[in-house]
Amino acid sequence: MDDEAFVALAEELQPRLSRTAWGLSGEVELARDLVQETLVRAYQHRSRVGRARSPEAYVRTILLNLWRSQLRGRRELLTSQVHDAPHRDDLHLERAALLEALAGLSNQQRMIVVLRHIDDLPVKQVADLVGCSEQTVTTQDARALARLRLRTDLADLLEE
Amino acid sequence: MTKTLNDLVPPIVPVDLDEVMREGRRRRRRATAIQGGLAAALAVVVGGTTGYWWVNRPDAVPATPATSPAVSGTSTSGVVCPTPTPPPNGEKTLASYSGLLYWGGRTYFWEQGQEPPTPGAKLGEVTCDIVAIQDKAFAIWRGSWPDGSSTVASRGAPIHEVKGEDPRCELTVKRRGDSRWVRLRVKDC
Repeated sequence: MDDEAFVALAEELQPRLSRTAWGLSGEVELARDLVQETLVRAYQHRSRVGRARSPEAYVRTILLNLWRSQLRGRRELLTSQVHDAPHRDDLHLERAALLEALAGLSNQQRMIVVLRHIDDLPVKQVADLVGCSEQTVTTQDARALARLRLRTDLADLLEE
Repeated sequence: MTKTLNDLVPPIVPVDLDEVMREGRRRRRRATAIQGGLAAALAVVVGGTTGYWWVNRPDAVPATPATSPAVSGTSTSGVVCPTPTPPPNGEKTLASYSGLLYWGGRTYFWEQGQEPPTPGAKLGEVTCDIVAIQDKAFAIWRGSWPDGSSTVASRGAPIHEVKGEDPRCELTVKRRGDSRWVRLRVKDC
């Protein structure tokens, strides 16, 4: 994969990677750092990215692995920063509530909810990325949503 | 629902892709340099270890003792040394050696760390240099070696009594390489 092809892929992926990163990290700057690091690593291994059956899935996997590896040292980050620097607009209360609720989920459930509902990926693709069966994705997604709906401030957002 | 959750994502400034590629290239260069350094260090260690082993390779008993009954006496020059051949599968073998001399039906082992012996009367000469023969052939001779064969000394090196010692128990030869006299002793003698 040459530089031109990499730039085209990165430009196409970046908005989606940013959404995923924000849902996982819960903070704009952290999300940007995560995306930047993901793209740097993808560029380092661009020949492998180019050979991958799905370059997009390859890059997403880098992002998820980075998030997992960073998570251990930042266990409390998501909840502690939710209210520190919210993006101030008419959705900031809902946004803060969502991030707080996501922080209460297991890592796997959080990944599934973010990939399924913030990034709008199909179940099969989520299963491939998370490394579990489609059945598990469906089950965990339902359980996670049920848990999120317990919060009254999210009930409207999560209506089916 | 996805649409609603999507709307909650705040605007995130895109990362600079030029900066991403610069950083990627820098890391690749660094990784290449580190890999090169590690490879060089590994080569030095392996080369040094192999060289050290080759110079100081241990000695071991490679064959059964000779059967000549003589203890004192004659030169053994003119003896034909065996020529080991590699096995049919062609596998090359390098033996390890312990220092020894076959003489008079006995096996004399090199006693390292002893006082240098004082040579007495000459008894004969080393007939076969076991190390040279086997290493040249990359094979081990499974039969017996002629009297006077040694792993310590080269062919033709003088074999002497040690002054004040019973030659049935102790002998001395000039070691291969630095020509020092080394003491060889029959075990439990």
